[in-house]
Amino acid sequence: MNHPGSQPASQPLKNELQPHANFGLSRDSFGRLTLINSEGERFVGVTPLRLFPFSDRDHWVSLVGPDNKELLLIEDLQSIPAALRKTIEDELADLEFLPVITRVVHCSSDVEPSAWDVETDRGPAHFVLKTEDDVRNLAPGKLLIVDAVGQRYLVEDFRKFDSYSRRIMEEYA
Amino acid sequence: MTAALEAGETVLCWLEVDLDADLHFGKSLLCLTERRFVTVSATWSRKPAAWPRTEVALVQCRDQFGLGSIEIQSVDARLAVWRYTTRHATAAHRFAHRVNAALRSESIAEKDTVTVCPSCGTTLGPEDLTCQNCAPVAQLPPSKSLFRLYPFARRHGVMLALGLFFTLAATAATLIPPGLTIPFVDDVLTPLAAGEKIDNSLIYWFLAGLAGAAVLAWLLGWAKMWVIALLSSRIAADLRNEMYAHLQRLSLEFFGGKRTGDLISRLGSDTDKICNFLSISLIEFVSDLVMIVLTAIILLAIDYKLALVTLVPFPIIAWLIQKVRKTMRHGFMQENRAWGAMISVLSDTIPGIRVVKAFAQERREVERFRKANDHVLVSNDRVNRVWSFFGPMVSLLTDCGMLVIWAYGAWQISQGTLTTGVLIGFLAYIGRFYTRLDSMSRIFSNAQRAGAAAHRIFEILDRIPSVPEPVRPITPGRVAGKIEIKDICFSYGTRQVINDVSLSVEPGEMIGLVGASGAGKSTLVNLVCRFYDVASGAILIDGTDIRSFPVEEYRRNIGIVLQEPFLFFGSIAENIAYAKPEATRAQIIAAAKAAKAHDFILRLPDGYDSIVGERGQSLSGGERQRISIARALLTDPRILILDEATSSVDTATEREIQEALDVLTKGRTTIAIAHRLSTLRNANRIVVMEQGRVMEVGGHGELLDKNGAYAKLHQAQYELTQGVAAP
Repeated sequence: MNHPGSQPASQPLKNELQPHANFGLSRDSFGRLTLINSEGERFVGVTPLRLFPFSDRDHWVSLVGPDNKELLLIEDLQSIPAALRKTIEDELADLEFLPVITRVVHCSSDVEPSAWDVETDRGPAHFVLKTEDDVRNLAPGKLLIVDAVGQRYLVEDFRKFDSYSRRIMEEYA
Repeated sequence: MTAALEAGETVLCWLEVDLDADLHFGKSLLCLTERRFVTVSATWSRKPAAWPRTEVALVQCRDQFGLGSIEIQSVDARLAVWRYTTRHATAAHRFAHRVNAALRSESIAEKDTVTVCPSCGTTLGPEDLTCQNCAPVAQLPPSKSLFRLYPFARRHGVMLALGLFFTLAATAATLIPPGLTIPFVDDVLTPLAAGEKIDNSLIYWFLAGLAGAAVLAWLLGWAKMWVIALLSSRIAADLRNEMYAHLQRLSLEFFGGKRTGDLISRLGSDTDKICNFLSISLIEFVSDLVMIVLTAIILLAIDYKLALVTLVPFPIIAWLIQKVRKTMRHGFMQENRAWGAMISVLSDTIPGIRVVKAFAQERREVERFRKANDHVLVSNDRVNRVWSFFGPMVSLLTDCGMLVIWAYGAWQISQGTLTTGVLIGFLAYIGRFYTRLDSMSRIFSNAQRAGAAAHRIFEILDRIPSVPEPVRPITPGRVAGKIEIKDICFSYGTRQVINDVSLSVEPGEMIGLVGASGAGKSTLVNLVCRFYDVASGAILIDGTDIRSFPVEEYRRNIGIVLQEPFLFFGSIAENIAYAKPEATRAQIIAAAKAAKAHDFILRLPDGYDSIVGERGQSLSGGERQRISIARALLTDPRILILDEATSSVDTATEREIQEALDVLTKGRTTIAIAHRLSTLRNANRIVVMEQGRVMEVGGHGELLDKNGAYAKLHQAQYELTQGVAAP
């Protein structure tokens, strides 16, 4: 498929990133996203992806076709019309299930594997942490926890937690 | 020497060899004059011999297992041979080189014949084979290395002074209670026991004094520990920083010769040992010393006869310490080395775990580790054997000392010349005295341990970085990229790897370097990157010698893509921006797109935030290579080095990488080393190297027509790929 995202290999570096031109998004009857690009081509089954899901959530969202090729790269979600943004954000919200831990109710032990009872923005959850390597430091206070089955949990800033939760989190920070 | 010359002859060049015909040490001199080749033995045991220059056709030298030989040949026979030790190897090769040049009646103008130290990379003078840095200079004994920590301590001068003050004060405070004991026993307890009435307030005063002294000692001890612990951890941290910064400045050659595990253990556990020593043992040592001196003074002041009796075991202990010290130090050095070796086994096998498993050598590796661990055990045992004898021995001696005092004291009291109070006070002092002596002997073993550790650290810190910064640097800025290599030579020790190579590369030109392994291709690009300095000749960028640029600014103009792309632990974005941390996200994405890495990065669960490197996302060789190409692209270098960037991947991946490389090389001066000639289809010119020399230079077709070395290589690869894919 020929699409505007790909450029000939010999193009100089600066022109590689094309500014997103006008485009339209709609949902078909199956709920699939359909993209119409500035040249009027239609692509069905488009998936939005955040390129920097942790370091910069609101910039650099890529719209990818069913064949995993990039169709369009949006630098700033704020710069596109509100309706389009809403469609993309809804779709992203559907795709991203990342509970944000707000409180640790109980942690079975300070050596792994340990069983955790936590409260998240999606309700209470229980998971098992296999090794300390599964906790990733994103920024000071910000952690990403991957549990034994691969489900991910985000900790926005444990420094704001209550003292029990904070003490547990500090071991991994 | 001059006696052997004929009238009107002058020596053009000469060589000293240090072995005689029977391989005994004995010097002789070989020289070349305008007319003859003359040899003179230093002892005149052999008669001077000479050959007319016309008769000598060739001088040849050979090195073998530390023994070298140099021979002169006529057209059809060997005329004479001399032998020398490795010390003269460099000189011999140079001599042979120059004589041969002279025989071919070229001028033997003094070529800049410095060479480079094989272990640290410094430039050597013409006559020395071992370099000044690496030469085993008389090392300070390990215990002296501890004194070299002083400059590190001095940076925290206030803390140091405070620590010393608290140590002294705390020690003095602990000496108050026994001092109070004497009057307490004599003025309070003894009268009470005898049924005399005394002032009750005196008892309270003494008790309050004892309690106050205890609290004071506790407070001061606390302050002392706290300050010294702060100080020692700072010194250890400074040492680690200094050592790591120093390591980063050392040449590649250094790392080639060192085992990673050993370096890690030096940086980690050796600095830790020093920290422990400083924080725990050293203050104890100082306070013990103060204590012993103070106690001795007090004892002598109270009753010098009794004091002299109590000090009897002291010289014996001192003698014992002296005796055991050397054994212990050797033991600790060995222990550290054994520890380093054990860590080396780990750092060797853990990265190579795939090889281990593939060849099912787990058991052997376990065995290897066990052996290294056994060495640690053996060296531990040795130290412990001495130590376990030493400690109780000191205790026994101290007990003897106590016994002597009891006996002498009892006798003196029975004589009426000593009060009970003085005896008890004495015993209280002497108890402290001997426990101190005991702990001091323990400390000295720690001191030996820390001394050995400090020695290993300064061994690294004393290395001198190889590539010197220019005295008056010229800022390169952003270069155009014209590379001129002029008559360069380079050797690792005695092994000449680059031999009179000259090459000129225009800005934006792509040069392909081909040749067998060991032909000097990698060395040549290492020289261009200035990982080493050339021994003679020069490399010019835009007409300026690269040695006159500041190293860091110069390297900023260079991008490298290696055969094994190395990704650091961190996100993909961080890895791409490794050489340009200030790059914007847009630049990172643009670089990734240009390197054809964007599409696969998209598919990773965390996009550009995905973790790669050790224990990160597993990426294929081609994907890793494309990330490393993006990394090189982002810095936008003017000069690009591709060191077999595609040799470790399959043909399909090579094609993908090739596309990325085409973007990368566009408009940049490129030197590409390749085994697969297909990689070089875009090269403007191809340089064929063989044994450190440039054999052929030219375009692909031109070289094929020549039917030389390149044509042979091409033919060989063609045959190899036939049936698999068209070349």
